[in-house]
Amino acid sequence: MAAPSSTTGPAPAACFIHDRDCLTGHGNARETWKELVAGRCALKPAPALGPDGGDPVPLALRAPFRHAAPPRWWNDLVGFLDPVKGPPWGDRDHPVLVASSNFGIDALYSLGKKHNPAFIPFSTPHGCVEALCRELGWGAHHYIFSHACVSAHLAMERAARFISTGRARRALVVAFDFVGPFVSGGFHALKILNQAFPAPYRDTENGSIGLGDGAAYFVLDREGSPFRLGRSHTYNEMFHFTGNDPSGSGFDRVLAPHARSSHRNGFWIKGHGTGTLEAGKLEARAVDQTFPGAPLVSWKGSLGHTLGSCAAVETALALEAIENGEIPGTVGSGEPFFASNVRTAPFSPNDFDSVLLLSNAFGGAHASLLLHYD
Amino acid sequence: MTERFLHASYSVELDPENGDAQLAALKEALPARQARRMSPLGIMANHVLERMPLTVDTVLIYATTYTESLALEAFLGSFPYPSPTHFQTSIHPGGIEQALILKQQPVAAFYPIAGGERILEQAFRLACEDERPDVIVVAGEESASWLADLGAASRHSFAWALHLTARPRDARAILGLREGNPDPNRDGETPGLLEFGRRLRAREDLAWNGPAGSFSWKWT
Repeated sequence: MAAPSSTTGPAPAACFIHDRDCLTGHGNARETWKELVAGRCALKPAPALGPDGGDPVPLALRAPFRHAAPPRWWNDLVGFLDPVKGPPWGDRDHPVLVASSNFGIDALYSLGKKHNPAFIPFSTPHGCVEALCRELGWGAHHYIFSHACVSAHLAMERAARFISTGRARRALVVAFDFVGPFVSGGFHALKILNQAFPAPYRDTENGSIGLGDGAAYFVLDREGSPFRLGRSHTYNEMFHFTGNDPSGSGFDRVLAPHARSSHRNGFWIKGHGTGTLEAGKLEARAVDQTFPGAPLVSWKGSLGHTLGSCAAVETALALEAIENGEIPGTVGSGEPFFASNVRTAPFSPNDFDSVLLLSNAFGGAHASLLLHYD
Repeated sequence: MTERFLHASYSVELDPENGDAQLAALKEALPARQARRMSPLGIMANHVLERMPLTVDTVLIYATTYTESLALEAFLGSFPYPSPTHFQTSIHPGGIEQALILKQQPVAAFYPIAGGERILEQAFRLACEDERPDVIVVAGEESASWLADLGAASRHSFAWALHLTARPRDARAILGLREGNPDPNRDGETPGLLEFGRRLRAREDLAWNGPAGSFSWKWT
């Protein structure tokens, strides 16, 4: 394999995660961690188009779809972000980095259906984020990343870059994606939402996914905390709009650099694990070949795919699991697995000092982030 | 002051009266099968990228406020039987991905952003603070119909690209970012993506204040 290109993030010596939380169909980080450890699934059958009907598809929602302005999830998100509202966020030294794949796209769907101008302010990425900034009292120094399901990874990486280069005192990363008929209808049209409940990964020839609501925030700082961000790597294959290069080269590109790090034998791996057959095979096999024996878990079989927020949501859950001394195994799947290192039972984080966090997206986008813990 | 140096730029804006013909001319240079499925923004992004020295190691920043507006309109119009093709095409950052997939051009560091009035300075700030030597910034929008009437899409079709480096030699223009409090001598308003493309073609200098520093664009 060719030497990986310049995907390396900034020297990570001085970027730590402080306050953080996440929100899923199960609840906050603590509640979700408990459900994952218990192996419970938040995905439930719901009509793909919500109030407009459609086939039942697996969704892990915090509230049913409805046409509403502000969106059905707005107060939920604003309340969740209450710990990080107001100054200094958004001033010169405290940038806010917002990531999502869909922002308020369900408002755009409602706008198309109802032709009600009340939906307009939430229907574009910038409109949605600017409304959030106003609601939460954040200043104008913010960035909006949107790269499908690696969006949150990019925001975390750039926030770490701000901190480690001294261009920000602290940085706030906010990621959210709430499912609506636009998204579930679109994914169902791609024929990758599984109607064979309850397991999205099991008992289906093609592999398939569920979708879930998700949000997370992180405060990054140069001051010490038990959680230090390590190297980040990204690679975008641009092989096909939705599929990966069948050689698996994109996965190798973001895994191989970590194999050369001094932490090779010291981490467990939180995989992307969407549940689509080809991507699942490629990821599991690449991980197994590069890091034989390193435990690999995926939680999307319980949470659903939280899309643009997934990297942040699952990072918050990894930290919660480390703090609580028990890493949930893969949920919502069963044997046979594509690789021998897939773990289904919970295990202790104390045998390791790091976790490798993986994300993938349309366009063959791949991302990896090493996170060290005391 | 952080500086980045312009070594190549290219810009295209479709004439609202003659946009279809201009787009058809851009399409002619592309393989017919792939071009048929590309959006206007994808075709324009491909056109401006042709002039850029893009490699796998180039940092690529893509700025678009509205992204694939025509695909969004078509996808919304396809309900209750949502179209998988329009869904795929409507996903941010689909426009430039169409161009990159057409070229089979992988990129390691790719940062698609989706801001509003201040999206240009967000893109420039990311370009200035990146320590990697070569950055290409691509921006663009495509004109839509009913979404544009509601203020949820652009009324203009355009794209531009800049190759910015850390090398001052032979630079055609200099992008400067002075971090800190606003500079009272830079009282210009933040240009939007469309306006910046026009200023680029006119080779006009620019200076404005952002929330985290002051920006300047000066031709050599």
